[in-house]
Amino acid sequence: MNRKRFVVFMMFIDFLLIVSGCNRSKETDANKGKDREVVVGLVSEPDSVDIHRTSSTGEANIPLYDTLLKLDNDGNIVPNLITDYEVIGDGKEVIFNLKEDAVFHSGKPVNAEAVKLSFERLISSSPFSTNAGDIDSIEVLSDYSFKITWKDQFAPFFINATTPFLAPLDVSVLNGEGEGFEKNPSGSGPLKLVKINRGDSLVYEPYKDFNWESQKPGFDSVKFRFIPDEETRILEFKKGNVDVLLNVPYQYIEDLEKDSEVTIKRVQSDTLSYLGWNNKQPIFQDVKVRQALALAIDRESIIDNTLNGEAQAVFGPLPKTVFGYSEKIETMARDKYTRDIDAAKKLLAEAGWNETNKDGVVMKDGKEFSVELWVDDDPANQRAAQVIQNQLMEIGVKINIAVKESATIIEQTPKGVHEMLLWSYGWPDADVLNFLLFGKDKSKRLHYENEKIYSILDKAAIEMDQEDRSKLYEEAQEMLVEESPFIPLYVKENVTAIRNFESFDVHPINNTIEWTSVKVKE
Amino acid sequence: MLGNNPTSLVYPDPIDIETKTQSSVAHFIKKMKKNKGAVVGAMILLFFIITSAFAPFIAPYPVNEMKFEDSLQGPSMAHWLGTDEFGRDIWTRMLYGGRVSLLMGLFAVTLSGTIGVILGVLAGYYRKLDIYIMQFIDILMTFPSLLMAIAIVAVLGVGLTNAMIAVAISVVPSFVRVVRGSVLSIRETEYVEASKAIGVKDWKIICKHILPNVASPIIILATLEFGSSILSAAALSFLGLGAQPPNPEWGALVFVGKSFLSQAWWMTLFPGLAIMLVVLGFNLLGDGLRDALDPRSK
Amino acid sequence: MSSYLFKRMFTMIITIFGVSVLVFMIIHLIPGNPVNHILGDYATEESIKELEMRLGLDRPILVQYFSYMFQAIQGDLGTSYITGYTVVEEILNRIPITAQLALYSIIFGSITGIIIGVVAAVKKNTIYDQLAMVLALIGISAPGFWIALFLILLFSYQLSIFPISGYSGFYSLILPSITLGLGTAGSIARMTRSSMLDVIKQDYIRTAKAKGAGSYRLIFRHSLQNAIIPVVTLIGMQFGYLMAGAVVTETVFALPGLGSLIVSAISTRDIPTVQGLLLFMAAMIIIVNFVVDLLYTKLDPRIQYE
Repeated sequence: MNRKRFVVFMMFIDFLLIVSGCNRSKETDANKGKDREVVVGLVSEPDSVDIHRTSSTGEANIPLYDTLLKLDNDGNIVPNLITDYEVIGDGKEVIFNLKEDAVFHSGKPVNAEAVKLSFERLISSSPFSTNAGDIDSIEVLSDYSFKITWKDQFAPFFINATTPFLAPLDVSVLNGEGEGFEKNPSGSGPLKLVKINRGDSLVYEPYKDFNWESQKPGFDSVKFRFIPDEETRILEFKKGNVDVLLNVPYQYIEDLEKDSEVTIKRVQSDTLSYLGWNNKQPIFQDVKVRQALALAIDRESIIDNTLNGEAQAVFGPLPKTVFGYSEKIETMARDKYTRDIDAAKKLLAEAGWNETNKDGVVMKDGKEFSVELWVDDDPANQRAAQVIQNQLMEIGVKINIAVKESATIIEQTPKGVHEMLLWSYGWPDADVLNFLLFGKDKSKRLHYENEKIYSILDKAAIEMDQEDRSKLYEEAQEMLVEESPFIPLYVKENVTAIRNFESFDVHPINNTIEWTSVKVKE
Repeated sequence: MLGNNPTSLVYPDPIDIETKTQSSVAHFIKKMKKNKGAVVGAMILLFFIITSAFAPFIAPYPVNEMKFEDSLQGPSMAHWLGTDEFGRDIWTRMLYGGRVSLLMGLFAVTLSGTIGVILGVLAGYYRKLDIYIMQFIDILMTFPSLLMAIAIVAVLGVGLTNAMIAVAISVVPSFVRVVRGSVLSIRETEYVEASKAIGVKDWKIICKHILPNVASPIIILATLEFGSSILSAAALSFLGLGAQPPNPEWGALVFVGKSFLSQAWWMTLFPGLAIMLVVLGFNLLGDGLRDALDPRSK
Repeated sequence: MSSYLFKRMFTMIITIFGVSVLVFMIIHLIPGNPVNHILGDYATEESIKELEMRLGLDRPILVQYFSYMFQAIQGDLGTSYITGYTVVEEILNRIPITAQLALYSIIFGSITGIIIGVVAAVKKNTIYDQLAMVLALIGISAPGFWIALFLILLFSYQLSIFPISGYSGFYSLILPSITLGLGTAGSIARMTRSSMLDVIKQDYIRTAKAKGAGSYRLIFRHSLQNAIIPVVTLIGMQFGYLMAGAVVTETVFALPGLGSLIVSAISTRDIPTVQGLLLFMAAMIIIVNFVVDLLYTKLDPRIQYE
């Protein structure tokens, strides 16, 4: 009897063992055998490596792709896969010539036909198809040259072609439904996918047929590890289990700098954080209120106390790295909106918010100035939101912070159900003012209506002359500064911590790792 | 919560608690006093309840006032439990946070208790409803409470109120089960049968005979669930689904402190300790109540 | 027995069916149309309509439910709109980790719990008993996420004994299993103590004692064996709590299991994944409880089901 019970109990344990099917243990440290493995620590896993599908582009999926054009270190557009192009007539037609030695990871050539197929898939099924403009037709002229015809001139195309969104992907690996790329991807970028460990890591190797600029790759494999928890991520780096730590949490930078083996790389990010609001809400209709809010914000205090000083204050609508930025606008905005509590209070009073209740909140017609501020779940943003809350309280504006998932914010804000939000945008071209921030029916987050601005932005989008284009944007920005439909705050420094590299560069404009420069110390 | 809260096993089996009618209060108190665990539990709870209730008078600093120059200070005479990343006093924030945590527990237990008692009495008393209600409860019980709460928060949206509702709903099944069990054992007793025979209305029987007799298991369960609700709410806040900054709910304090763990352990240690002590207090008290209210225990 | 089995299976199926309805309802109440999420900010009316049609979201909800269930019965839980993976693939990818985590924490919890429970029962009403029971209660009361943080800080960071995070074989699951198993240990300790005390009171133990059986032999041959029955049931019941606990534990330790999958799926509004996972977890819990019920009869021949 005893034995019988024991047997049954062991059966129970066996059942669990079978369920657990310990098949993972074999692959433990399979890559440790190679001496030059680079481990990169990242916050989150991209939902897909398919650039036409993913809503999360980042270091872990963009090295799969080589872009059509690229930005040099000064932000000029220079040839890459596309060697040269010719704008025909009024600018609706452009002929592109491709470099002839580029090869996809599958071994197929990156020729005009392949690029055409890739564009067609982008246009028909990607949420990011607008980046290519309103394309009428794509015509293959020869093996390595093709012509794109747009319905309207589309000036931002060239800068957009420097982003991975328009990079060619190898359509030949897709299945019958045009899917399956996420498991068997093939691009023409520096890294070739080796293994996907869902939820844990992506493993790449350097692609031998990539143009390594006459050198050999300085590493044998790259593993992107996804570690959602901030503290755990930093501990893994400190222990040496991670060689490259992207987006170092600000509170740890000082600590890491003390370690002589660690190098900290700082690159000005192209992402502008801003405090925005739904301009359709009655409370934000008065320009005096909007200006008062802008005057109440002390950017330096937020930067010093939540970002460890690792950011640059921005007053104008566009940060420095973006085409369309103007020194004149920035100076003008800085002069206008440097923190001035008294001026802010005065403006609020003029707008009718002239009483104060016992909690110190300003009132108008018996209603207090109290709004909800949406912020995503990034810890640094949540800290910034609290400092903003305190700063606005000083002029009697009460903020209630509501943390939302980014997915919710992206989805709910176009419906206009929000009041305020702490959000950001990152795009290399001023057209972002049009297609995301203030364009007609495109003001998804800010719901700002201004016919004058619409017409300027529309004109700028089709202006093929870069100088005239930038004048138009200056004009639009001047109005935006005066109208204050949102408060630009800062661009964060992109802080990367590395150890054991002979060389390791991060692109100064688009902030991505330059894999051709990466060389592991031996 | 977090898998480490199989409270259903801490609960008395409903049938084990035989109804104990109107035994003297003095006897009960005497029994409770003899139970060291219950006394310790009650003392812990009393400490937290009093400090939370009088937080505005006890707290040495304003709860949300930022003093950047004092940020991340370790425990000292000026700041007993240290300061956080904005120089806010942890002890002050814990006092205010205790109000939120305790009120969340109270709300969750009251709401789930009310729903649970209604459903439990209906299921136990009206045998025709029993099978439907219990099948529904079985389905609800399939989901571990945290998972259930996460799913509910996904529907309702992130936030303190929604987290409270989610926790409350996830606790309902245990109340229904316990109440139904007790009602079943009482409705067969002679005096209920007799009352029915002489035509006393159902609601009168329920109010006069049934409810007073299921009071003990409900009180015991409520005490135990109070603790586990606080734990559930804290776990939700820890996942970022519950209390929002700058709300000093204890779980949220641990969540924030986590980002500073190796620099400022006090930000995480003390709020976590408070959660543990309060939950421990409720469990000790609940155990004591069960021993005192269960006539079989010596 | 067989009629009991039949009845039990019948209610099991009803419950799984009910769970599926509940899950489907919850999922469709979640605000946010997945189509908006897939197509992003610049979608046109037509492209939204077209995708809705392709995903079958334009059909009446009942039709959607039944076609979903029809496929689910055939082992197809749908495909994630976002990642392109089938839900079954995702589950199979990740279940080894969660299952191992559950298994190890049950083993840790049972062994620790039984030892503590036995000590408490044997030394009843002494300081050891009280200490053991306070320890058990602390295990139940302590927030696991909080314990996890300090375990990492001490054992992984300061002492470098264990990896900090991620999955790299058995070693990397030790701390997560301890975190997750603490509560189980606490409950099992309490259960072991009380069921052993019940058994010790019974006649056959007294008889064995009278016959002069040595006290250790006595404890293990008689009382523990009989006391283990409720403990096994408890282990079955723990399964659900472990599944839920895995959500937090896997997040803190960056383990690619089912728990972290559900958290990320909720935050990206990956409806098919959330739905499939909830259904799968619920079905697992129901089945494990069923198996444990059956084992129960095998373990204790005195129990007979009609």
